[in-house]
Amino acid sequence: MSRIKPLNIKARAVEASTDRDVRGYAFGDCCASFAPGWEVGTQDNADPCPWKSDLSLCWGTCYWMGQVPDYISYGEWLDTCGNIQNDWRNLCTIPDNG
Amino acid sequence: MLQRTNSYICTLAALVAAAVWLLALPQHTEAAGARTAWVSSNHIQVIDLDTARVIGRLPLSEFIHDMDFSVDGNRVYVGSSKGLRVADANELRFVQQVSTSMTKAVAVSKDGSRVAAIHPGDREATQAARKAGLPLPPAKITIYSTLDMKEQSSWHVHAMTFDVLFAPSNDRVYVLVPPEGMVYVHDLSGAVLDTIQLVPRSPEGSHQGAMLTWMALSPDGRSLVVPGTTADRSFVAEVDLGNRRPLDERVVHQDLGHNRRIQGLAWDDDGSGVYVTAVNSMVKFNGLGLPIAWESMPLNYVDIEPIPGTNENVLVAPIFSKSNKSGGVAILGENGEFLRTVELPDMSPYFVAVRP
Repeated sequence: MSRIKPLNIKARAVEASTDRDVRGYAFGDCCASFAPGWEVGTQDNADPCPWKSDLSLCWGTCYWMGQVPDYISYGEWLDTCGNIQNDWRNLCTIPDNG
Repeated sequence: MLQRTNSYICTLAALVAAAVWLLALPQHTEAAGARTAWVSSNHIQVIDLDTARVIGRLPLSEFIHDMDFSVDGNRVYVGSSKGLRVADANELRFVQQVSTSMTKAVAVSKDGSRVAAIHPGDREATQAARKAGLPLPPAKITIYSTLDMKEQSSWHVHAMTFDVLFAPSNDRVYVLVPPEGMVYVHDLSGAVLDTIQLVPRSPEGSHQGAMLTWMALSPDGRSLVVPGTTADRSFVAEVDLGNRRPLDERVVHQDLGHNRRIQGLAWDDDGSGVYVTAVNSMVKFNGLGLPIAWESMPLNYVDIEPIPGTNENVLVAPIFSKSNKSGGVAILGENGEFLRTVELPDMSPYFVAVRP
């Protein structure tokens, strides 16, 4: 974040704001849910917990339904993903069936 | 001319067969004699704990939810997104598919005679229930005999049942139901013998948003621990199973002093405490829930398992090296120092089981 320099008035205003627009709203330093969805720490540092690093645990406990499919309805979701950093393209797209 | 060609082909085939045999032989020999840890994502890799080398792979293409060794260490029971399987720990291959139902958790009884498994409800029925806003179809606990892996009994439980463990007496199981904040104690026919409320229920019946993950039973069977995380704090719920405290104090919450999500959980095999890994840290609690060791971790280790008979632990990290895009395994000494590590370029390990 510190490497990004504001180039206009609006950007400088955003930089001066103390109301962070990125916040972990569930768990301070874990990879649960970040609004608006970027992966940074609560102090704007590099992500302490990449979204991938405990994906299956988020999935298994079905606690963050918005981020991962539930394991009963979509049990095969991670079947073709041996290494989450290399194989994330293989993650199934879950259809929105309403 | 034809005879000579056939002779060449036969010789070549013999050489290829010999090469395959030679390549296969060391893997089996190594596995039979080595201290090994089995780590999993959508397949299994077997790590030699003394050399930190991968000595075997078991391909599967099914996400593995749980693994547990037989008491003698010769079999591994593997629960995956598409079934329950048995692997031979010496030959490093699957030898039986017991069930084609998703298997969320597996547990082996202390006497080695039975395996308990959680099979969630039917997928289509679950999806239909979700759309209709109806209760989800129940999951099923099934008890198998390890002699022939035939089903001995089964019964329905809450749809979101997450973990199962055998009591040391082998005649009952503990069943964790996170949405209810509850552990049910069943006999092996499914009758409910007891219930343990881990998290107080609100008037609406919810359990106040606490996320409960795994259970771990102390080696003496007198203490059951279940970690939990809420939006405000992380804690370890310690259940007294040995009548050491009054009944109204049977469940005690030990606050971890942060709200980091708890991930790995394992009792030390000597009963001296329970290890908990959270984001960027590892803590060891004693039997009273007091932290006796704390180690800052550079990575997010999601599972931990002590190596029996030693002061060493094995930890797995799905993201071990971002630059190399590898997962990894670390073996830690008694002071938390890294003894050996291995990067796994083709795996993000989520679970580890150490061969007894």
